[in-house]
Amino acid sequence: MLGPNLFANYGEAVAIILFGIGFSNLLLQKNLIKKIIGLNIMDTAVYLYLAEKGYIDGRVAPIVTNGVQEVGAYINPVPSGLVLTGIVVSVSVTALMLSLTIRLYRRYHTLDLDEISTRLKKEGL
Amino acid sequence: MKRKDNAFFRWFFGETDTMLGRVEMRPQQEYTETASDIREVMQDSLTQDQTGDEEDFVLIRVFHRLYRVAAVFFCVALIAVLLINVSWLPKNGGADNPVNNEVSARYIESGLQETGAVNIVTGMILDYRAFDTFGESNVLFIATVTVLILLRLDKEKKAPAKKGMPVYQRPKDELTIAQAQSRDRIYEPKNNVILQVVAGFLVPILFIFGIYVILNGHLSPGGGFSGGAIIGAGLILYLNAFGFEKTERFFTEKTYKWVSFFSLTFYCLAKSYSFFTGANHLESGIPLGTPGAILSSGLILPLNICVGLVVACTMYAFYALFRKGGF
Amino acid sequence: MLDWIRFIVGAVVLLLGLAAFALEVFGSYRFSFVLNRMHAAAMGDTLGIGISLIGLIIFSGFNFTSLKLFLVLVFLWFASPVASHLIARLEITTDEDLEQFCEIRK
Repeated sequence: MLGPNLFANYGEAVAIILFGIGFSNLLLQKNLIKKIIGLNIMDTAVYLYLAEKGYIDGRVAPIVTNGVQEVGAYINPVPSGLVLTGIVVSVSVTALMLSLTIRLYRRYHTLDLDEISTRLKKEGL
Repeated sequence: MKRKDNAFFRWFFGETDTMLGRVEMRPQQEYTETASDIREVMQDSLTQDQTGDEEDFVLIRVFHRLYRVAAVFFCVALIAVLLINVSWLPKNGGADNPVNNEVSARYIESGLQETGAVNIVTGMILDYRAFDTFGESNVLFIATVTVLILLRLDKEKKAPAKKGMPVYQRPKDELTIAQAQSRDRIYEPKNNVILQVVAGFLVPILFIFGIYVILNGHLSPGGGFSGGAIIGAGLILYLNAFGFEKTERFFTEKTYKWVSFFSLTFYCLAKSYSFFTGANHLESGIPLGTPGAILSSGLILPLNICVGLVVACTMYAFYALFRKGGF
Repeated sequence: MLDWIRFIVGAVVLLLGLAAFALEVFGSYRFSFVLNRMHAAAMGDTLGIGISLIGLIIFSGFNFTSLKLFLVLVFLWFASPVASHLIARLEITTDEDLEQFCEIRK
């Protein structure tokens, strides 16, 4: 069942474990801020995974040095661009979630999600 | 400007909300929290374990325990499945992996000739896939706008809402910006000497480094996003050390508006021109320059500057909005 | 021979830095009061980063990379203690029952 390359792909394995940690934070924490932190951990895991996918042994970052333009000299530049996109989107999403949390806190004076949902039920929404 | 009696123009100038009453939506009730409400919340959270019927309570506890067990089980199962997947992936770092296909080969082989950028990643994201980056800048801008909608406070207290007033014209039932600022000053480390000395030393260095990273985006690692984030960090540090009076001399809402507007418009127009000429096999007339010089690689340098400005303004705007509800 | 000595010295210094980090993590979980935990975290951060970067400088020798590492070290030693100081100050101004735990000189 287990394939041959688990220990060769240790970077990806660490990324997967980080993803799981973030996901369990998302499921198990009640505090909204901690949920957001969990989502950020998941983001970071995805970046790590992409960066690991783009790496090739013994090659350097894709910046042309000394006019060398062979494919064999540089790592894959595409995942780096994807990571850049991901970081920007993650910043925006985090800001949006935090501002929504601030609004919730101003109205309910708590960050506990259970508390907020019981109060919502009390208000009949 | 003459206002027309058109429904669209009336909506555009903010006189009526054309959707009001037609779609099913309730305007949010104005929520005023009395002292007893707050006390009730406190009581609830203190005595949460004793409230509710006994059977309900047992059921809820069973549910919570089951939920936690199921969540942990699900996470472990997810990690296990994904790890098995990883173990079957090709070895990390191999040159023949299917990730390294002809796309990246093409970028590496002819990126320098076609875009003029020494940094292949910058050439990729600001030339081949420039509209993608334009979308990213717009995502940042839209995020700022939504945070502005959610957190902005009024400059001064407006008159209380009348009966037939549309929702969007009602004053928010919140603090004004001056009240928020005076409240903020209670907790803020006011005129902290340690912070001010360090900020006076670090802020110029941060600005210079950020500008260097932006201007060298096509020559070295970095570019608009990272350099803009560095400059934004410098602005936030300056704000923290010297307060809003000092930063509002050069950065207000108006500055944000115009800087974002000009950067995004310039980006859109420049890249549209470049793609239009490229798609029709016309000469764009933008020189690529010698690779490795600062003034080279055509449109990449101005686009990097635009992106950097947008990112720096966005970072500062996020911080100011979270802190005070306006800037 | 000289390379080996440099390698061993660098490795020892780097391991010392990692030990400082480990102590920091241990301390910030072991203590219960906020300012104690912050003390552990801030001290461990500054010391651990300093020692680790010195180890890396010894590894890389005397060249441009080590100059960059040294600049990173200077920046972090400016920024990190100030950040900890500000957080501690915020804790002091916002915590209402601080007098129960420690003595405040005003």
